[in-house]
Amino acid sequence: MFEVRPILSALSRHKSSTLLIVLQIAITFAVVINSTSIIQQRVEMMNRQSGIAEEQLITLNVNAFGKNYDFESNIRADIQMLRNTPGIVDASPVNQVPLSGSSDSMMVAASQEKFDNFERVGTGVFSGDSHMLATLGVELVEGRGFTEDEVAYSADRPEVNSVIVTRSLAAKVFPQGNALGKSLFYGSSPVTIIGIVSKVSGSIVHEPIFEQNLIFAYVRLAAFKRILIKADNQSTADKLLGEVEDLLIQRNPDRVISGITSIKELKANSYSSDSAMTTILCCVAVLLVLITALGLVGIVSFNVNQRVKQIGTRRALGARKIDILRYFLTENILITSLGLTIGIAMTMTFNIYLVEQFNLQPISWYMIPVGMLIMFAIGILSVWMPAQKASRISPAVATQSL
Amino acid sequence: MFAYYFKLSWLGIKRTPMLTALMVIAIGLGIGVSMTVLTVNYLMGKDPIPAKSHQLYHLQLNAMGKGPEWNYTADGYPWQVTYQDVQNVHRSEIPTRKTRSLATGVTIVPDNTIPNETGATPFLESTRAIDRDFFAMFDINFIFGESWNKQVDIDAENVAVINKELNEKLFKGENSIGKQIKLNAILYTIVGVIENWQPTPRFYDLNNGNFNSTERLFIPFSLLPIHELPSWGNNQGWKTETVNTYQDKLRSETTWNQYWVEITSRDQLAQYKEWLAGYISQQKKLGRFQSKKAGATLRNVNQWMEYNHVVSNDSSILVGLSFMFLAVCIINTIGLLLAKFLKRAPEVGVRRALGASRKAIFIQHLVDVTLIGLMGGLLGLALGQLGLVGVKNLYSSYSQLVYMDTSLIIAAIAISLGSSLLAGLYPAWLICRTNPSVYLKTQ
Repeated sequence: MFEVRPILSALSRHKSSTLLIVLQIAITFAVVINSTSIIQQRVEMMNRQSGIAEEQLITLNVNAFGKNYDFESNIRADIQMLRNTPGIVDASPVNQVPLSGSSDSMMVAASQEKFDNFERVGTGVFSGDSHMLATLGVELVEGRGFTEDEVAYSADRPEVNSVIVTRSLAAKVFPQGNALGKSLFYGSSPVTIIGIVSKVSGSIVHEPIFEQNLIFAYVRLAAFKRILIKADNQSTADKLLGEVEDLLIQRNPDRVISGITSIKELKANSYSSDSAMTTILCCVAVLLVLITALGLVGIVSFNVNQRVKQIGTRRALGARKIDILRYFLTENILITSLGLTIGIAMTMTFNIYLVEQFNLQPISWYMIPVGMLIMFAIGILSVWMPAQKASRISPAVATQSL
Repeated sequence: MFAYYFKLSWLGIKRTPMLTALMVIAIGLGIGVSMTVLTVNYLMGKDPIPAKSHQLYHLQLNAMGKGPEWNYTADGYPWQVTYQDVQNVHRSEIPTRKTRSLATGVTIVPDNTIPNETGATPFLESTRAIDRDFFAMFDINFIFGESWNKQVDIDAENVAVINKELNEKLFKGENSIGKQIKLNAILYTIVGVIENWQPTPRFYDLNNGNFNSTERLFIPFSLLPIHELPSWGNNQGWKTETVNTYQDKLRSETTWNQYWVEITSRDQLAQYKEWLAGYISQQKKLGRFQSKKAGATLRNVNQWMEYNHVVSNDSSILVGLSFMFLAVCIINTIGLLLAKFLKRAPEVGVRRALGASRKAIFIQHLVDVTLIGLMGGLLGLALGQLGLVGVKNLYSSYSQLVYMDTSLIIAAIAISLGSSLLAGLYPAWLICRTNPSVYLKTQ
């Protein structure tokens, strides 16, 4: 039925050109599968939920200069003014901004003993006033938020008693659960967990502790202050970017406002290398498949032209159009199968190298069968046109020019 | 003879336009993709200061106590050093030149009495706190004035060096030596104006953005404890200690300063290493440097860049992938060339029968291939430029990275000719072995 034997014998007469196509399919497969795997992992990372109202948030820095600048009254007045501004839902002074790329972190443990034995867990440290959770827009899943009396305004790091942690940090420090009400140890006196929030993105997107974060009620009094502002919606946030500097300078001109950006933009910057890599890999994969497909079209067209007389003879001897078409398709499937067999081995080898050398994650198993199906489809599509042309060769050709 | 070969090749190309176009596109895409990736990779890791890169050493100290090691770097050494170490090490007179370094920042309040376009709006300026040797070490040229004198590195004075761009902004580009600027409400005297200086990568500080712009304002490092200059870079600690005030930070184990030395001979290097070993054993007696890995390392510019992975993993992966891409393009071209040459086999049969030597046939086909390679190379260069524009849009921080210099253009042409000749070798060899009688019979 499928003329496998005659195809094989025909192929064996063109060993080198067959081998070239096989090799080309194999390398294409290895590159495309590994690229797709990297793309998939990056897209997954970029699509992680941030847990905060990222679209509505903007941030800025206040840099005070001048000798008689009172840090506490100024930050309180700034925040009060911002909260009273139409379009602004809430605002809080913060030490670091999620997704910004600049982080504050420390080590904590479940007990003093564990801390001393270096059984510590890394965590990002956020601090702000009692409106911090509301400004970030995070979801409190257990316990309570901070009250305003709990907030320490101080130039030095004060002794605080309470802390709010993310679910991810709670699970890491207290794997048995029930973190609420327990104490966290970090060298000085322990702090009690009064609340657990579902998720807060850390500052550095490529850190393994990205989602392990804790929040203190503490506003550091210094010349340099970061402020986080939550707007009504995204368009208000965009509008505020251009207006907020004037508001703050009008209130007190003895400072410079810098770094006015939206969290959306910070997020895009943090992931810029990943989105660039994704785009480049997409281009590489698409172009490579295109070249291989065009190459196949070229070779098969050539083969058809070379074999016009033979095809004509077959047709004259009773082969139907469909038989000719099937011949070329079967030939292609055989070549693609061989190419993919070698290709799978190459894909695996290349992937092992990437995993060992660059700490990438291994490819998911299903990518291989899916990739194979796609390669078969591309192969058949590429030979379809020339094979159609071959099937239209008239049986009369067999008798011409003899 | 070559003119004849070229004519034949040209006729051949005209006779098989589709096949030729396919080959040119394949080679062009292969070259275009690999050159784009290679250019970025090459410029990322390029020696930024070839004349001196082997003489400039970055110091790392591992002053850690017992307990877990620093696991952010491969060798367990923090990238930066503590203030106390930088102060102590700076006493050594062995290096030819030496500089402490810190990324900091100030608010510049333009003087109302100086007429300039910026008006009186204060602005933030990222600043580098360094020693006088910094400029000579990194080959930075002065337009006006010079670096502050050696005494300033010990007894701090409020002096500053600015670059050309900032001089334009503040003083309209005129000689500003002796003029004053107000930084954080303190008056500084300008002692020097340097040329705009942008090494790529910014090798003198690889811990705060490899491709960031350089600072435009430089002030003495000795001002650190006096004006309590904030760190605008990374601060990393390993020890559980209370750091409340600036003075606490100066005494702490927080690593936030950087240290570079210039060493010109091997003896001097050995001598300096010995001095550092002596310093460490002295510190050990004071209870510091207790870790198993405690010690000092010096890395020159290129080693320091490699250590900091200036060439990103992504870029290395892309180079590998792009060469596999090029390999597919070459294999593709070999296949198409085989087809093209075999189609011409009858013609070759006639030429062989008429007395053309195998060598002549071989050379003629290589000329054919070279022509295709050249066209593919030119297409590849054009695509490469397009690719670089794309990369520039994708990575905002690489804007200074993406240009092709002459050596890269030559490399592109060489790779395209090399790969097409490689592709043509086997088909040309196959065709020149054609037995003329086979084809003459079927004519």
